[in-house]
Amino acid sequence: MRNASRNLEWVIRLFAKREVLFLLFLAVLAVVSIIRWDIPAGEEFYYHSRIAEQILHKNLFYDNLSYGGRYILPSIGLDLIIAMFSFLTGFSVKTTSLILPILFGLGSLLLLYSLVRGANKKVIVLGFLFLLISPGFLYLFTRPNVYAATVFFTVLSIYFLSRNKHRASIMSFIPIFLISVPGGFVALFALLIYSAYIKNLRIWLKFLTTSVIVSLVYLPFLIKFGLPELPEFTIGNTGINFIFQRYIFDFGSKFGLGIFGFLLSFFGISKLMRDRQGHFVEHIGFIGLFALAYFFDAALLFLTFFVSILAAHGFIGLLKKRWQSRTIRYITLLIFIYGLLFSGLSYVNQSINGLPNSDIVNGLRYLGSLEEGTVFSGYTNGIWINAIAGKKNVMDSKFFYAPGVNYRWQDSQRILYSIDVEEISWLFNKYNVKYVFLDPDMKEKLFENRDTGLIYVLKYSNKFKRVYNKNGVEVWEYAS
Amino acid sequence: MKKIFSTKTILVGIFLITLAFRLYFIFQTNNFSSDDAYFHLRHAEYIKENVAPMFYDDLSYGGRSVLYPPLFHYLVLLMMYVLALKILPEILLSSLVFIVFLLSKRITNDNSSSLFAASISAFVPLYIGYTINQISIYSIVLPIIFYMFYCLMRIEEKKYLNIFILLSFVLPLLHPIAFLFMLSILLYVMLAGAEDIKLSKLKKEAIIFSSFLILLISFIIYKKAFLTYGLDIIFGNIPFSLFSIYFRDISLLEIFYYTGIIPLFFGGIAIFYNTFREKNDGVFLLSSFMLIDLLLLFTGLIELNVGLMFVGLITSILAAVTVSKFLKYIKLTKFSKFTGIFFAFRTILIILLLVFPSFVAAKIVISTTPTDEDITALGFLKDNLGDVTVLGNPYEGHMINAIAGKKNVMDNFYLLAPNPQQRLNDINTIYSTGSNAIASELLQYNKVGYIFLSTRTKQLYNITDLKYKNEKCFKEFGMGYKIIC
Repeated sequence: MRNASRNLEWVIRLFAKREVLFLLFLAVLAVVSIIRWDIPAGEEFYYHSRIAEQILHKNLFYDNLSYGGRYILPSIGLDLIIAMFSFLTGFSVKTTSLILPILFGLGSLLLLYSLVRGANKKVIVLGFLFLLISPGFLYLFTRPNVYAATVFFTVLSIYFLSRNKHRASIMSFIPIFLISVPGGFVALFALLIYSAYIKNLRIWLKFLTTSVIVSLVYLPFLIKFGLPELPEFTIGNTGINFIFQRYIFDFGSKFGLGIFGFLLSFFGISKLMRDRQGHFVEHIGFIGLFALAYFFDAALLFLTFFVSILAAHGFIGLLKKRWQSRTIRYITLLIFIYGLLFSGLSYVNQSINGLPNSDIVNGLRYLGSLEEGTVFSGYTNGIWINAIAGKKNVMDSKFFYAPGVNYRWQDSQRILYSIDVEEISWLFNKYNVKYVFLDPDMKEKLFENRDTGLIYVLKYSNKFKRVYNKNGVEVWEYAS
Repeated sequence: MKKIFSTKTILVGIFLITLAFRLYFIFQTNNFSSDDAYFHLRHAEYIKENVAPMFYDDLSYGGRSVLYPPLFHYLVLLMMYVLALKILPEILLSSLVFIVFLLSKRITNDNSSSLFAASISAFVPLYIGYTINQISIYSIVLPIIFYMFYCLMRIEEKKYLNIFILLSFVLPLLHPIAFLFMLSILLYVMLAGAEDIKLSKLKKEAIIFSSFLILLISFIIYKKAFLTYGLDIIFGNIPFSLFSIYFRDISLLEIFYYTGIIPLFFGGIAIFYNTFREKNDGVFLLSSFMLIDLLLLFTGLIELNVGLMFVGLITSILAAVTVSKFLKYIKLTKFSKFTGIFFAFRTILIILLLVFPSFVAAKIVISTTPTDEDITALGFLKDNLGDVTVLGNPYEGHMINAIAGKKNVMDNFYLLAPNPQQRLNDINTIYSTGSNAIASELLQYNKVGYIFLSTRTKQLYNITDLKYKNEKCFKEFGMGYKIIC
């Protein structure tokens, strides 16, 4: 038992030095990012780097590729940051998009470290280590996404607040609502907790006022386009109850909490309750963010931070507890360490194997070499079609304020599952479709690898010609 | 009443009777009664050749990933070496009577009622029907789960603590039913808390340890499936049209029929008595197990047969409590002279209400076992048919893989299987359609080179032959047709 405590002491001593912790974070985030440096996984990189590129070419308002052409949403804060950073440093947009999240992560780490410096060393170090191997944290700071910037600016704002630099704090808060509105709400909640903690709710009212003022940026857009058309279709994962399922990464969520970190956090809550030392921030933060996460993804990512700290409390509690059986104690603690590592490694593994892969990218590059024309494919390929092939799509996953999102969805479904050549031709002409892009994932999920629906038509109608076919990726040309 | 036999002798007698009952049936056929047996057999044979377990099966579904806890296949391999593949599972299943006795004895401290529990547990009709003449994972899982409960009851003793720790590693490596155990012990902690039953510190530690260990090992094994299906992993990718078979709603009458009236009646009284009168720790532990099982059963989250089998076994153990109380009460009355009659009455009841239905259940299982003719026909394909996909009914896919050594269109291992629903529809259509065009299209889709027409397939689809067969495209070969165009 003493041995385990001694080992822990050694770990704490090693990582209690800010520089060591910083280097560890840098190493982990850099390695996870570098693994997919050539072909980054997911959609975010492709979307943000394309829009940032567009901004550098002084086109701030109109995206002429997505949905065949649409207005860009005003929440282009992250894209502006990428464009500015690229412009100032001379790095390419791609490099900037990939290193910026790491910088946000390291920045957040340093700020958080300064914020909690006075607290229990063991909890801090373990909390940071647990955070580093949590799927949410790895997601946040290894791929360009609006929430990485949101978290960074929120922490920056809290940092200034803790130093009584209110103006700087509010200035740091301003970009958040320009980056992501849902992220802004969650940041506002985080600031509410901190304001309550420092017993200065008046300052929070200033944040609230600022957020209202900043939100006015959206007013012209709102006046011009009115309220957004809400999608009337369900997409993505469904299941036993996906809303709850998405809380936990190990149950198939994109960036939820690691199951072992989550369970360990309950031991932490129980320990803190027994300590009777208040721990207001941890409790309210956990409960509030958990509830908010039902509505906003951003809250789930903020929750990762709280869960890590609570898990650290829980782990220390289990370590200090007087166990009856040394064997059980030893194995239980090992289980938790492996469990925490397991979720993080699963995320890395998923990231390595995530789409797009080289086959898809090669297919899209070939598509890019063809003459101009709109491409029809599954909506999940839409952003890649824009970014890699440089072609217009019929629809993509950016549904918010997308022009005619519902009828485009219905038409897409008609195209996918109809075997009537005339109907498909009519719809293709309607959207000026010139190409069809198919990948193995789409063929399996939509057609169960059968010659049905659109695949049947492509194969047996002379209106379509296959111009590319490699490793299951196909490009078909439509001769109207 | 003067004791003629010692408790140990009677218990061994019960074990031998149970074993004899099982052996009587399994020796009526040379083959196994379920397709699953051939799945395990093939995996064990793969381990024999490659040492490592099979993660990718190039015959099942024409090639697919396999996620199955590997430990059981190593045990099957061991059984193959001692040439007891048919007998050993039956011995293990019969040995459950010893564990049931131990559990009942621990709860009641009464030999007579514990023997009663052991004897009724051996003849739960569904338990017999579901496990007889198969290489069933439950032959090892059931004794382990119930022994873990026993160890948990005696966790303060070092020996049982160590066994509990060891089995906590073994169980999740055997079967995902480990989750059921985990949920049960967690519910037990909650119920004990609510009922003011003080649990020892060591017991709590053991429960925490075991729960998290099961969780970790299961997540490691099923990581890919969790990421693919999320919580829907519970349903194991079973085709929708088969849901009604695996997870159908269940009426109270069916529960009585499948699990036996005696265990349910006596076990039910024990739970009732324990909840409102006497707070027995052991009964609470087993009640938690039953409660979780019932909850999953009624919400359709556990396979019906498995869920009911557990109900039958748990209530058998708990029945000892009722019988023990009853016997004690009788001893206080003038009826104490008639304990012999009571014993005889009890035995008759067991024979009538448990042994007889179990006999019927076993008979049904044996009668639906693949015939020697079917097995020989599949064996014939192994050497005489090229490397083609063989179409069989959905319940003989593993046999096609294991005996014929050919690819199948589908089998009943659905987890991570590609499009099982679509394939099931195709198989059903191919066997039942009268249209040559439809059948040819589907055969082509599924790249089928041979249609196997077993006795069971004919029964299942109520056909004597393929309705659309023609000499141009279908050449009669063995017990089916080669597709030649």
